[in-house]
Amino acid sequence: MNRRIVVGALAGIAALIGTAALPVHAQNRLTIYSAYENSQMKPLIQAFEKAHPDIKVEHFRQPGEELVATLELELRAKSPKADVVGLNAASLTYLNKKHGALAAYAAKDVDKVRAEVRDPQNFITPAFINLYLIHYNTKKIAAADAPKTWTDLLSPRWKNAVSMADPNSSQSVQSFVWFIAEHLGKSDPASYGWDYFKKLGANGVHLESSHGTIRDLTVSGERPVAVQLLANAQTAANRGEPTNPIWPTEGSPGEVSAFALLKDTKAREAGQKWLDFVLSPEGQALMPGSLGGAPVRNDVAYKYPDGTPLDKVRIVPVDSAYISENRKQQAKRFHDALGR
Amino acid sequence: MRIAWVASIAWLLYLVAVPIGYMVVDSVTEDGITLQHFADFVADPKLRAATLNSLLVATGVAVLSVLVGAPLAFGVARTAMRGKGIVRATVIVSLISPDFLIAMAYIALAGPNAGYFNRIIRDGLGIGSGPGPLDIFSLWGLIFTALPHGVSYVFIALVPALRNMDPALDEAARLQGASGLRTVRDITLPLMRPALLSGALLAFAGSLAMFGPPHMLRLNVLTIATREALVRLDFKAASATSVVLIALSLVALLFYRRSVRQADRFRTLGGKGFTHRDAGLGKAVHLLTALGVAYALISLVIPYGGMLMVSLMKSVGQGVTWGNWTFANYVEVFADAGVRKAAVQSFLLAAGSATLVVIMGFLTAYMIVRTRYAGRGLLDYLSILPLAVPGTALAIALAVVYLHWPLNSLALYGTFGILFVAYLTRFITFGVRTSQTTLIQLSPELEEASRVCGASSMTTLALIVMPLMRQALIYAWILVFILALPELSASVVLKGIHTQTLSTVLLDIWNGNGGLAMACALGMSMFAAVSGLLIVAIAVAKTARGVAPLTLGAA
Repeated sequence: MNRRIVVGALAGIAALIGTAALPVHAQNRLTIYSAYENSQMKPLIQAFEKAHPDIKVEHFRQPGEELVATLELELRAKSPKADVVGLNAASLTYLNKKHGALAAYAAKDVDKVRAEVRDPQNFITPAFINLYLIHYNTKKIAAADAPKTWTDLLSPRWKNAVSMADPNSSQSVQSFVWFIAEHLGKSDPASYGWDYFKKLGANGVHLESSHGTIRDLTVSGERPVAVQLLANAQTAANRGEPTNPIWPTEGSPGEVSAFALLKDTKAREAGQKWLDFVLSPEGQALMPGSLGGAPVRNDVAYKYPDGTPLDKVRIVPVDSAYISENRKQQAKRFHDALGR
Repeated sequence: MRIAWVASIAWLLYLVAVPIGYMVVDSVTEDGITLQHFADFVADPKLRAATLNSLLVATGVAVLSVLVGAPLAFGVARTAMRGKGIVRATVIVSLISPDFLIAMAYIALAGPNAGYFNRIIRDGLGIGSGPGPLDIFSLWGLIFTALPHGVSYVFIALVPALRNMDPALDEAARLQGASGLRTVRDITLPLMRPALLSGALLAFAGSLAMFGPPHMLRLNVLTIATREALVRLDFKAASATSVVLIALSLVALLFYRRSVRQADRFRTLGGKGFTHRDAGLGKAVHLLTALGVAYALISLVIPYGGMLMVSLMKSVGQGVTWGNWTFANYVEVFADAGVRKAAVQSFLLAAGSATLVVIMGFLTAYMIVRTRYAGRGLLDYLSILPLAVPGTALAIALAVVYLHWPLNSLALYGTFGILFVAYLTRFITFGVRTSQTTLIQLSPELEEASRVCGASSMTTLALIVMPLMRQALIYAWILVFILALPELSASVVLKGIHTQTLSTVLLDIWNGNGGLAMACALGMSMFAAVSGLLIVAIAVAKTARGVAPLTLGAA
């Protein structure tokens, strides 16, 4: 009797843990980890599943920097569970350099992709171009008063009004930090460089863990001005929120948001079909309405959410190689400059 | 019986001693023994600030909780104030509903630029545009959002003590000509010191362990810092920070145990019966009523009312206007595959951990109370230790243990299993304590009779003791279930990408994966689920003999 109770209890624990740990990989299931929001991925996944009714996509989202940590832990525990990963080019390069995590694949239409965003080794399949812009709440701020340049954000007019992402949890903001501290800082260290962030901190900038939360703060007017990504400005516009983008005169750092196949995937074929779909004319045309960025193909028509044509915005391509090498130091220097 | 004895020791060692011990060792080793990681901790200005912030917030919450909770408890136990039922209901709801829901609601209500409170105050005073005057994104904001929990701890510690105090003690003072207030100050308060202290210490430890509110308010405290270290994959820094966090709450717990023991010296209940009498505060009673109403408004009505409102908005940017109302956020939340999967996992985790915690808690309590095996003191100590371990620190310990040799061979990290282990450890105290207090009230004669009639000790347990304790065990099960369902601070560290819980999904939606209105819709749904279960728990507790509801302490 006594033995039975204890043995029963132990068997119960074992069974519970056992069933929970069962692998979720089925034959035609494609598991995608990404930093893109569920609601942004949804239209893309639906169109993909319609084109490939035999494949079922499962998507899991985390803010970029946290997702990198999750992937590193899974690789370390030798149990990577994703087939495809969606992050920006710098983070994917980092994962591949440090862990050799990715499998190369030349997607079907890769030759139609603009040369400057292509990965010559094809470890990374570019999906869309994501730009930094100033995002503001049109109910709180008249268009004429809105900040026009990145340095305008340092004005006392915007004290405690600006929010931006924290490089401890967001991967993309590394592109913005690089743009201000390294790119502009080289030519004009008086106005930019690390001093810019020191001043931005003194002006009460609010740090959030993800650009989606920042979008919500802009929309509610709690933080009416934001250092924002195109993707989220687009989502806000798609939802009819009272916001607008500003294209600062210094230019917009542009990063490549991408997908890549993990080396240890058990759904290689389905993963390759996903990458093909992302670069297909259909997938690229969906980008503004789904992930929110600008298409990477030259032959797909595109306009920014405020109607600005593509060639009117000065895009500064970010140095993904530099960022993937220096991400930890950059995050630390950023926090040191802000003093928090 | 011996096998049950071995099982309870092995189980507690595995759940409590192994992870905590491993982490402490991990924090002082690096090719030999070193204090380098703690030196790094002290040298880091950000971590120093986090420690200071944690202590400031915990102290602030403890002090303010006493200032609000003590008058409320006194009012409910000893005066004719009105609205006692409202205060009691608020206390219990605050105790069990997840703390991050309040923070989320108050970000919408008291945000410095667009919060409704600030807009009302600014319009009232004619100050133009923001920010301020209230800023929820501050240490004060964190203290404010933690206060409903803290007040509950003080209240539940104090009410029984006040009820057990013989009113003849105050009456003696009144007969000597002291006023009502003076009697409270010179007689009642000093007698209540141990109970006050234990309530305040629970509030202190509870605030130290908070994860959700400081995460949402973007504040630098120890729980946040230790998780950030893990996200950077800096295991040593994560371990050292967690050890500091545990040490601080351990100090609070030791003081708490001392204050509870000391309570004997303050014995106020003699052998004679007495009836409660109104403390006779005169008009001052209306102040207590006002305090009670304000407490209920601030901790319950306003935050959850605000959250309900936001959850029904089409566009949060358009605010309260006609035509901006919709149920779409609820539809979207319930239709989301990720949320549904997380809900199933949370229910399984909560039900599974509640079941095992109750069974093993009962066995362990039985060993401690009824047997004479060696090491009962160790069992007692191990079973209360998790109370002093903040969920985040426990989770870091488990992550460190299961990612390193030898336990990494179980490949538990990132699975449902590691969350299950974490929940068992977090809530084991509740299982053991509930059974312990009930067992003490059961006379051993009943078991002796069964043994005399020839039943084995295990048969006696199963057929005599457990049925007698049925209600207490059901009550403990529901309590653990309610606490486990919205568990966040350990889950957020240990969740795999496939193993989300309701709270981690909520945090994710909040973190931009859906947005504020959807987060509020899920938050309201969780609040409704927890409140519904609470009503069942209270119904069970009413029929249970000898179990004082919700007097178990820290959540």
